[in-house]
Amino acid sequence: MPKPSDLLQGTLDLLILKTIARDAMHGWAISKRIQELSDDVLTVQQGSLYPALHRLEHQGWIAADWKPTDLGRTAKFYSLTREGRQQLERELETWDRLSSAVRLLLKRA
Amino acid sequence: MTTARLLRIWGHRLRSILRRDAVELEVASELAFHRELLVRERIDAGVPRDQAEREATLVLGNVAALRDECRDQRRVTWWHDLYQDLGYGLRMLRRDRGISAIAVASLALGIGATAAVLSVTRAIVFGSLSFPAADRLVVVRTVPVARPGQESWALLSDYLAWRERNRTFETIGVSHGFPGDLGGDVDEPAQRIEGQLVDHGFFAALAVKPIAGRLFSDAEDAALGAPHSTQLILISERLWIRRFNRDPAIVGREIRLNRRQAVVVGVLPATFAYPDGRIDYWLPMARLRASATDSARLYAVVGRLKPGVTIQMAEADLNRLAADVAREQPGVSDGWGVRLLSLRTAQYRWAREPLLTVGVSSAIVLLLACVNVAGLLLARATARRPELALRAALGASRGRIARQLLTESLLLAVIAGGCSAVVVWWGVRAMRWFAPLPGVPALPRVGIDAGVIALVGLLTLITCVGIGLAPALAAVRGGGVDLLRACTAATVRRSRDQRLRGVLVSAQVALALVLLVGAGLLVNTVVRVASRDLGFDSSGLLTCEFQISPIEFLRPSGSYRGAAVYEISPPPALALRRVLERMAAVPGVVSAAGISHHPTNSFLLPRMPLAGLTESRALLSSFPVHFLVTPRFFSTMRAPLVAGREIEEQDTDARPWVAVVNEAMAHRFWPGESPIGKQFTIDTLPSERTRTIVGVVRDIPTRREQTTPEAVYYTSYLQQEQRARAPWGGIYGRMTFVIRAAGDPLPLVGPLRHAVAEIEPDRPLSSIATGDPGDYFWLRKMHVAAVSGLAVIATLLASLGVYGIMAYTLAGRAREIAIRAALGAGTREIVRAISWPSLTIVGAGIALGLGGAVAFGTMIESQLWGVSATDRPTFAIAALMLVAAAALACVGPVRNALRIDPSTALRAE
Repeated sequence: MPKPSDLLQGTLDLLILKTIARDAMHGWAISKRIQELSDDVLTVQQGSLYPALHRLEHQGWIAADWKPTDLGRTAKFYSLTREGRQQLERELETWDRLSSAVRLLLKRA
Repeated sequence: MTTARLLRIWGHRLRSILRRDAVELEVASELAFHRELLVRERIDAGVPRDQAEREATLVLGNVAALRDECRDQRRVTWWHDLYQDLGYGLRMLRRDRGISAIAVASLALGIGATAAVLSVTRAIVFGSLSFPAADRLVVVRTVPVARPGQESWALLSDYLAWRERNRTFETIGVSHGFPGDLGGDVDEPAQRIEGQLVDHGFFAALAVKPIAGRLFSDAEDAALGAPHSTQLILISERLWIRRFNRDPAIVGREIRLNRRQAVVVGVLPATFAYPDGRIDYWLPMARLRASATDSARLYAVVGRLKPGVTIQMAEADLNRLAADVAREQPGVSDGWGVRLLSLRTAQYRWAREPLLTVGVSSAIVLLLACVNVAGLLLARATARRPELALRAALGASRGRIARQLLTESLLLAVIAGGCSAVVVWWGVRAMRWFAPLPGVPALPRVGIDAGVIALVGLLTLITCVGIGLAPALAAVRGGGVDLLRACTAATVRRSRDQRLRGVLVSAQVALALVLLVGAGLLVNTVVRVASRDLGFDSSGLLTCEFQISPIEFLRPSGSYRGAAVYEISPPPALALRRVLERMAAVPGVVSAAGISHHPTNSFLLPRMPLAGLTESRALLSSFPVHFLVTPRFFSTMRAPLVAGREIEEQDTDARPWVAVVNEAMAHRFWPGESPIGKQFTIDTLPSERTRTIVGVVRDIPTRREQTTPEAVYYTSYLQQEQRARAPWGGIYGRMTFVIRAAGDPLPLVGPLRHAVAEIEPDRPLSSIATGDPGDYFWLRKMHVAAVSGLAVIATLLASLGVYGIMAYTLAGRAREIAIRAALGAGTREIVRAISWPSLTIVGAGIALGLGGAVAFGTMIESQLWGVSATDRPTFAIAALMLVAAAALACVGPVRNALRIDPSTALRAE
């Protein structure tokens, strides 16, 4: 199981942005969703997750809201801002270019 | 980046800074929520609650570190640390209140004084000049080609030629100083006021608009040669307020000037200050046009250049004209060129030297204060080494530690910068006392505006770096281990900090010496000028001026050798004599006499060619100076005669005409001979009679600062021509009275004024002065006082620096001293041993400072009089003063060190 630090620089940001693209989520849900959608291949440790969330929030890509949860207490829900959505588009493009280039290289080399 | 995102980021950041606690709480609550879910997940998987809690703690790891990391992501750590550092810095400043106060005060003084000088300089160089489009205004001077240093005003004939034939000026005008007496009335005594004769172009060039009435018309300007037509006059707003109580009907009102009625046609605004703010009235120059062939360079020409014309182009234009005129009228202006000055240069050239001197002195004090405070901070940083070392060992980065120390400097600098506002406020006001000579305006009034605040801010920033760099560098030098090792007392003494502090103190001594020497040279100059032997006894002597306006007694009567000639009628000598006799009768007056110009303080003195003795085509400045005196002038002045006798009552018109000459004149024209009995004739009019020299008087300098005496001759008011040649006809109507009092002459001023008002209600006494050298000092040398004050402060700061390093060194050497004392060393040996380092420091500083002082002395050389820039006694005294101050600063610490009880000191560690 690769640790997030093994992920390519900026990949974690991409994963987070993509994960909350549809619904606002809190930190725990984000880490669970990433794990779930990757069939347990990717686990995001909270040690990386929360600094990343705060960084993205500070950069203005995501915004946070305190909302009540099923557990009866409020949690910090993160959602994409309009600029964050554009940033996600850009990052996806970059990712596509990069991964196809890597795939191409692996095939031809 | 979109605006929305920018706003979001900044909102976020501000919230993190301003609502720090709330944000921290949110992070904590967010992480707690995560932990709770983690625990719940374990419990759901069947793990017992306490084990689940333990596992969750393990998975989460160091929550505090995670919170820090989140904070780092918010980029507010910097602020957070600053907040802490500021609190810490403030506590440190409060702890050493005395030292902090000195540091802040000296820095504030340095910043404030420097900012004040820079603000005034900025106002002079870039400020507006209160004339519309003032950058196109120029002043025209003439210079002898052979002696370009001798700037003069212009001839009227030059001006007329320039006005008719120039190609580069939009308008050009002329003015001529013309002080007058405003007649007295029931409420107000008569009063001497400054005025100018001007032409139409003068107002046009300076583009002034009257606040009431109108200017002179071109026609009035041209209506020449009608002395009995109505006199028109423009007055200043100041005079209108002061004397006429803002009379709304001032235009058209008749006022009495020089015993003639004059009709006010307008009032000029107070902002119109050309050449300075002292001018209170203007008359049309028309009546003087008759003397267009005047051979005196007395006319101030001011012009407005056409747009796009540079000063160089205009200067070339006028020089070409000057050459043409010299060809057409040989003998008048050949050998003379033209120099153009921007109005700004002409007005403020005088201020360059005092401003530069005071500015450099202020900067030296600022530098000295910086070095001083840097030393203090360095000492504190050294004392805090154990603490810093511990923090370094616990993982604080060097940058972080350096920053903490820099925060302290920042705090000091900012507080000092704030306090310096007071110094700036006073400084710019005090500089208005850098009194200019007549004819140039005082330094402009500077308010505290954005520019000044920016200047103070910039200086504060420089100061902050200046005081913080050395301690911060010293603190981060070497790693943690070095830092820890440096804590032990034995190594502190040898540490590089100590050496650095020594260098800093040497620098302070050097800087203080530079200022002390500079101040010494300037004070020396002032004292020498003020107390110089003037060739007469100035104590108990009162001088005052009195004038019968030339309008009243000069009647044009043809011309001679190209210059206008006037008939003197009625001769003013009688009226002058009456006033003098009335003054001599005032109780307390021992004797009274008169002379045509102030003997030691006149700017424009009549110089006459002498037949057969001077070359008629030589420069005016090479002619001897002519004074008219009353009988008994020299005995009233107590000016000793070297040979012969003085001018007496019996030397009347009917008797042979006589003269007294000074030694310089005797030496110049009759070297090696006795001049008594020699004869000369003034070469201005054919009817001048030959005068016989009856006495030689010691040289009296015509200006207090004069170094080489000029040739001067004195003739009697009773033996004079009935005609006068322009431009010196006026001297027959003016007299400077010299009054010898029994004691202090000042109480006589009131009675004398009164006595004169009795017989001459329209002609006041003016320019009343005593021979007191102090007057000279306060009038001319205010900046010397400023430099001296700064030098004293510099010396105090430097001694403080010496005191600091001595106290500190000796505290570190307590053990060594104790051992010496225990081994039986006497007080003298101990003092010698412990004083040595400070002696070398002070010695090095003085050696360094002497070099700087020579440079400073050279810079102010042109302001020195009677003392060279490398005057050895001044240097020696300044150095001795510093050594004495340093020695005094050592007394306390050394005494403390000697009082140490050996057993206590040895047990202390």
